[in-house]
Amino acid sequence: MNIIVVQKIKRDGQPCAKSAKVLGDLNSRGLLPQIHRIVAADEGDPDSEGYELAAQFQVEAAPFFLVERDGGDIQVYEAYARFLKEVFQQEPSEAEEIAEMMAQNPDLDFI
Amino acid sequence: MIQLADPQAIAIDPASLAALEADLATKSPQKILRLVLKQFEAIAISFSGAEDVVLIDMAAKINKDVRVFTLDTGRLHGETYQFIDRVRKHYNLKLEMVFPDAALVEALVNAKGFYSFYQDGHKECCGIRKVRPLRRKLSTLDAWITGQRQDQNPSTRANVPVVQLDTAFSTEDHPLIKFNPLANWTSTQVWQYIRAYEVPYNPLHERGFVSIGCEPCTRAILPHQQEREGRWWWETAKEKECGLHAAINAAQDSPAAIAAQS
Repeated sequence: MNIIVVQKIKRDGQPCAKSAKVLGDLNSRGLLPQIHRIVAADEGDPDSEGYELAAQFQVEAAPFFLVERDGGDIQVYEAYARFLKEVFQQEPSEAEEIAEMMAQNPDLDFI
Repeated sequence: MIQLADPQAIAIDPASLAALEADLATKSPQKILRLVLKQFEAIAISFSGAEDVVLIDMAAKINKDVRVFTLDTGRLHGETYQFIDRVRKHYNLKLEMVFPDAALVEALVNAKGFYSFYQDGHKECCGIRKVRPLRRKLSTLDAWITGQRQDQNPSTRANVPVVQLDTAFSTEDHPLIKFNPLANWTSTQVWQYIRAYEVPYNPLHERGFVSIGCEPCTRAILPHQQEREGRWWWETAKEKECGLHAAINAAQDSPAAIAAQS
């Protein structure tokens, strides 16, 4: 299994907020060594590999995760909580679950 | 499992819900409410303290014991608290107030203060004060009724159906149906109803507030602005910072991409 994380790098050179949070969480869970590559979608370079992957897999927000299984199939995960559950069999915290729900349902707060 | 008064009446598979939507979309909100209040036992109206009060007015005429719940985030306007109490008395409701987990609010405020959303974005606070308690409440219901309308926000609510499987809050073990009886109504129709039936309304509406949420995160809007423009106005740019749209388009339009296509 080959795992790529695509993070967004802003024009100021810093990762976007969600990319930073997710990579921090992967680190605190001790999972970073199992990530094979961290690829940048560099806001200052639309041709950067991260943007090419985003266009190829039609992903609209960072971070996202590409998991290549042994058979060669590549699965795209846009939801961090689902990625954690299915790839690492780890339960996300309720805060992560809620954050994911809100990211996937942008109108959920409008109540 | 969803408990229906008549289990044959409403099926929750996608095809059945689509057929139900096609049927209900042409019906008045009152007829929709009459049907769903009859069919579901564990069903409640979500009341935000704003113009969705029309749902309570309609439902109370059908079933005076209709269940209504409101999220008290702890940050509502004083006018909204007074209005909620007025609605409770006017309709003689046993209004169910839903509160956030005090320990989580305490931890957030102690760590970041009362106004962290102006720096860190509103979602952390909304997650604690709104979405978690809402999820807890909805886990006790089979269906809920909201005042969501298509004209509230063209970018996120243009396709709000009258009935849908609530994919945000459903779980594998507990499907949840969401009814939006006002989906096809306009704001004008809502206010025509409020005036015609002398429905009590939140006095903040008289001061230019259209959508009413928490006090620090809601402001009055100008004529012809969209309702969501009255919320979280300070973070438009921040919210988009993780988006990849612009550069995807740029990458697809780049000389290399065009050359590859030709």
